[in-house]
Amino acid sequence: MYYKGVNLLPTIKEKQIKQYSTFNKKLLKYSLWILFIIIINLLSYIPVSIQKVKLANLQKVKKELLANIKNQKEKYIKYHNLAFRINLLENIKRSRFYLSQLVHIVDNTTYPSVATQYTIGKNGHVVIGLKTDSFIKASVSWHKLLTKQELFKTLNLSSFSNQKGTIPFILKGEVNIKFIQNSSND
Amino acid sequence: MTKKYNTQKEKFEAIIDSIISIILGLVVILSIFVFILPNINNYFKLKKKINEQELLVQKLKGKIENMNSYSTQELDNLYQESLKYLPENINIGDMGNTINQIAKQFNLKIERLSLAEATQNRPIKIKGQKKELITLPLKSITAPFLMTGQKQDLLSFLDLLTGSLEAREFNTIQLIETKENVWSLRLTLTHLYMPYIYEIPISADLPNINKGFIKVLNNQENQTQNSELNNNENIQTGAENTTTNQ
Repeated sequence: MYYKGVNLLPTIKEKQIKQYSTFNKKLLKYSLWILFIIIINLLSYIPVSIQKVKLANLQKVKKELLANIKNQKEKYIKYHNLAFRINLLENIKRSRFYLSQLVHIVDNTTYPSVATQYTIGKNGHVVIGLKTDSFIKASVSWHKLLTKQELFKTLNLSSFSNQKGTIPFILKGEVNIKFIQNSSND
Repeated sequence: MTKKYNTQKEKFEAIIDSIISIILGLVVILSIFVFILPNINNYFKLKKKINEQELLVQKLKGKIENMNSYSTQELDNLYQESLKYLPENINIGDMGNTINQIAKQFNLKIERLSLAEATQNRPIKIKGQKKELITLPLKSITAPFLMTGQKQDLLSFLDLLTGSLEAREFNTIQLIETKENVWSLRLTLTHLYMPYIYEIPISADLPNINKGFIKVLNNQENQTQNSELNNNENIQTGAENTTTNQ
């Protein structure tokens, strides 16, 4: 059986079909763009809100810890009075050095000269007085001391003279305080 | 007529298309500047704040843990112990006596000793991350002195002063041979002391007790007690010898 129907719809031209599909394509393109913008904005906001929550939690923990300390204020004051003293004593101990260390090194190095003076300042400035019986021996002693580069940063001959066969001479320079402190602590 | 209308319609659609594209482009650019960039900025600012807060929380936790590892009684005892080395006040007469006794112990002769009653304020400022937290009321008395004796005795005397934990500082130390085998020691000794502090701000940046140094303090105390015991034994032995001789 074959029924012959009547086409009630108007006939569409190919151009109109093309126009319609172009419109759909454009609509899809613009919708995608808008969706993309919305997603990007949301994505940029998510990490910020996560960090905000994290910060709020941390601040809550901090508040609780501070409240804990406030509840033990008397102990806190006692604790810090002791802490300040301990730190101060520790710093003083760390900054100290034994003069005997310097004397020991100088005495073991300056032969054939004999030391008659040791002066050392807090800043490491040092004066060493020595005596011997000849200029050559004085020079040898000075150069022996100069070989102790880990101890002496600088060491210059400041003065020398000849007093009835004895040659007193003075060396001035700077010592490496840290080196003496370390050898003192060892 | 229809053809002209169609051309105009196409032109109009093209213009609308361009306008929509431009608007969308503007929205993208605007959203970058209004939302995305400020959010990125905010993210990094928050991240920095979180790091700071994390560090602070960690420090506070450490402080509480360290503080709670001592009982109040232990803190009191340790504080009393620390007063032997850094007292709350110094009696100038006691300081003179101490130097005199140590000098006698090493057969040294005090040529000159001046103890200045005037105290020096040497406040120490403890700073936190941004601001000053507290000023420690550190004070000192200086005692320049000159003593003579054998070189080795003077060095032993100095080693004893340097080796003890007491809060002493030395400025320039001068050891000179004055005569054959007679040496003089000239130095300025500064003795530090610090009164008790009653008001301390609550901050994680204040220093904690170094437990390692507490051990050093205890060792020093044991050494002092041992040397005192030995001295007492020597005195007793000496007394017994004297009695026997009599």
